[in-house]
Amino acid sequence: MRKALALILGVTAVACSQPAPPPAPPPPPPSTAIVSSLKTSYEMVKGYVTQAAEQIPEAKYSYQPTKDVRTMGQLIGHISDANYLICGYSSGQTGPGTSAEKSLTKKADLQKALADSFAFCDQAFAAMTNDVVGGQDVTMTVINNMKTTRAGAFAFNSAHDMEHYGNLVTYMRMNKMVPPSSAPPSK
Amino acid sequence: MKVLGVSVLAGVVFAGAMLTAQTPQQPAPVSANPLSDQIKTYYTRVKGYLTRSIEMVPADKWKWQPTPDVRTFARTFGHISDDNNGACWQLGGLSARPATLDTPDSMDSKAHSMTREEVTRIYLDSFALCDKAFEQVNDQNAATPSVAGGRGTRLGSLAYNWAHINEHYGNLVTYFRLNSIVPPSSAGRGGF
Repeated sequence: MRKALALILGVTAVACSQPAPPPAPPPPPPSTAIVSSLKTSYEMVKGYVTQAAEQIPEAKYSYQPTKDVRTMGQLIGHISDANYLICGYSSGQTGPGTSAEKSLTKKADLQKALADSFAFCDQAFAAMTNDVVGGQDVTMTVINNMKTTRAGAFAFNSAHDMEHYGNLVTYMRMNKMVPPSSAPPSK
Repeated sequence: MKVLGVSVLAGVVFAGAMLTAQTPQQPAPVSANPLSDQIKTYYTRVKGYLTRSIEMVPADKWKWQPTPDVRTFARTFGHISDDNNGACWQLGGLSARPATLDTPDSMDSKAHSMTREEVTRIYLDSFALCDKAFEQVNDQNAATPSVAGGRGTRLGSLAYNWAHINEHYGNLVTYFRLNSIVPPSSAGRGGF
């Protein structure tokens, strides 16, 4: 009995004398890989469209290659409107609620609307982490009630901008302008 | 106690039956890969527009271009094939990138020396390759480095390609409109 008691006391003493286990390392910071890679496409098209809006002369903002399509200015306005709409779906924020495509014609006004809309998307992107990219359903009501994740909405916006940048490329070429994506890199 | 238990059970069964009767359509199952599935859905949509586009080009417009500084219809489809192959060959399981079609960057392009049927076959094969590439991506591996190289993650590389071919679909839309042809994306849908 004494032996057993001594054994218990001994074990207890050893257990008590063990140093505390080291604290668990802090969890790694959340990955930003998906958001970063989607942002690459966004930054690229933002740069192209912004530069195209700058390159196109004021007199060509009303140009349209055929009457069935948007003018240069309407394309810039349409991209601005879509940026607000789609980045708004992603972020839960709302834009100004006016249509640049339908209300603006002057180059400076459209450039400002475009820059403001990209700034709106920039803010939405900045608030995104990988924790929410796939986890939150968003309904893009204007676009056939399309269900999407937040990151999916961002990706959709970039691809939509690229489609209309593709329109602009052809318009610019028809006016002897070299579009930004084909221009030699600046030194 | 037994009576109470039976009553509760009956109530649950009744409520369940009522609920079933009021909601004839069950909600769609939640995808295990909401993000990558979605990017694939978008890609599939523009793939459909582009596949329809190559069928729609009139025979006498195959080498048409709106101005000498841009690609013809034929070369644009060749270029899209090259884009797809460049982005998807590794994820799609090939050991080497398929030969490019739209070279050289001129009217001497191979896309002009081949028949329309040959270009179309290569074009459709390039989409089949990207379909295979998408099968290799899910939300668990989406953020892993892209084996296609240079474009970030697996999902990022495929999303980039989708955006890029969307740009060229934008070219084609204007080409079609200049020829009084309604592009596939405007047939039966709104402004987007």
